Amino acid sequence: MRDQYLHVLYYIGLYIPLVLATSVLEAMLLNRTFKAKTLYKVLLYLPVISSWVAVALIWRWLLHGEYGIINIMLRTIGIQGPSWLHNKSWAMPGVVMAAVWKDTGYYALIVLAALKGIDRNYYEAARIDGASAIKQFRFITLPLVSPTIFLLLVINIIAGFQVFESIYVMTEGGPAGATRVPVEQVYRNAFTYYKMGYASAIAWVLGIVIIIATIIQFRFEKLWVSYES
Amino acid sequence: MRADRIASRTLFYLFLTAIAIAALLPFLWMVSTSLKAREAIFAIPIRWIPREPSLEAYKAIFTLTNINFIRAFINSMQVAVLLTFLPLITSAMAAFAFAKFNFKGKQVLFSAFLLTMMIPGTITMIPNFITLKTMRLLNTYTALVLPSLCNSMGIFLMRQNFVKIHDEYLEAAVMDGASLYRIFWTIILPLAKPVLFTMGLFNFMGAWNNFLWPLIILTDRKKWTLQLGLSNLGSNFYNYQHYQMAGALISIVPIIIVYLISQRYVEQGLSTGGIKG
Repeated sequence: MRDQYLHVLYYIGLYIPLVLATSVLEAMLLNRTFKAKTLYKVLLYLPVISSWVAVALIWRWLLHGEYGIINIMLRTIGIQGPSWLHNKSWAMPGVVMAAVWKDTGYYALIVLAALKGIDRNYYEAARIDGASAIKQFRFITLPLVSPTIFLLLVINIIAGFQVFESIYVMTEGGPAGATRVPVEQVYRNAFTYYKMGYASAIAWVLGIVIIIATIIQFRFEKLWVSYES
Repeated sequence: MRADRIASRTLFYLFLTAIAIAALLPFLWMVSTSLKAREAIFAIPIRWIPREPSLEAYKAIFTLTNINFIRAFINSMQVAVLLTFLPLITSAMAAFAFAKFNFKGKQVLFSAFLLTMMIPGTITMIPNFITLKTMRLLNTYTALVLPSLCNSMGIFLMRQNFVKIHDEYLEAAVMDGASLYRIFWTIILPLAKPVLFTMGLFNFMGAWNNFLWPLIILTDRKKWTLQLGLSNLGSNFYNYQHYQMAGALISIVPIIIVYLISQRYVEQGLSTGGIKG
């Protein structure tokens, strides 16, 4: 049981910062005007609308140790890539890569909506005061989208603790149980061993963990989330 | 200042290209692999455009003996169409009641619906399974559809929309002697088109891509949906990546078509917005 929670925390710790960073970056790009933006948006949304089973097959092939295109590309710059999903320490990062690729487009559109709500005058004022692009990002953009980032954080931690489908179709919990997560336990006990009571107990413990994690986040909300008054 | 602008433009297009490549490359590699013959998929150096394009993989997966892809495709279509429209109707009816009627316990009931949205799906999976098992509905499409008929999220979204419809419309209809059903079908639903389209799109995508619930419910291979067939292809033909990529492509194309078609309608609907009243 302890291992499953460690794995899920590892997943959350890798996935959330990455997916938030890529979504914010993507949203900032989409917030500017350029040619063929609609087409670009549609392209970025393709991974989101694809099924996890299809995505898993594609990424299992991309992450193939010998003939996977990622390792082939790494080899051309002199790096011998790991065998990813067949390697105990690289399986989870492999799953996270696929998940970030699949989900970024979705969250980017949510962040984009928040960016569009920012008053242009703030940037104008900052530019007159001579603030650099980095400073503008740090002191204007970031605080003003922090409520949205907070929302995404809460949603993603709730979903992250329940991660299963992606892992099931990519590694089935392997290799050697390195990507086993709590919901996998629920699934296996309920539908492989038919121990419904035991499985329900695991599910409820997980549910309580999720509630506690959510309450903790709301406790710390005031420290970093700023709401415009 | 000028150099600064050029640098920032360059950086912008650099990121733009990098992200586009990262998003598209896996799909291009999927298409490329699916068009290769068995030996060609393991060829190094890699070729993005197959030297001798071959439809071997497509022919093979449609003639497999243990997975019937054509049947799975049709099954998926049936299930997805049911799961697009049925929850739409039930959610709209419930939302209509919550938005426009006053009855005893309305607030409590509505709060209860909202509360169910907060319960993780992991927890409800097992009781739902046991209920359907007791009803002897395992291995039927009814079992796939039934849990979705009570869609709290849908009810909530639609209620928020219906509340905005002015009561005068309904009162006028009542004066003219229209029945509740008539009001629902000819006034409420047409005014709520945008939200219906959006929800329908999400319902279809969710149903088409759903894997876990069908995996639990459908044990009979003949009833399998496309995602189940695809997952089976992945484990039975582990080293036949061209088969897997062909299967993945077939499963993705319908969803892209539906997305492209309805996305336009959804945006149109949102911009013309009949809801304002």
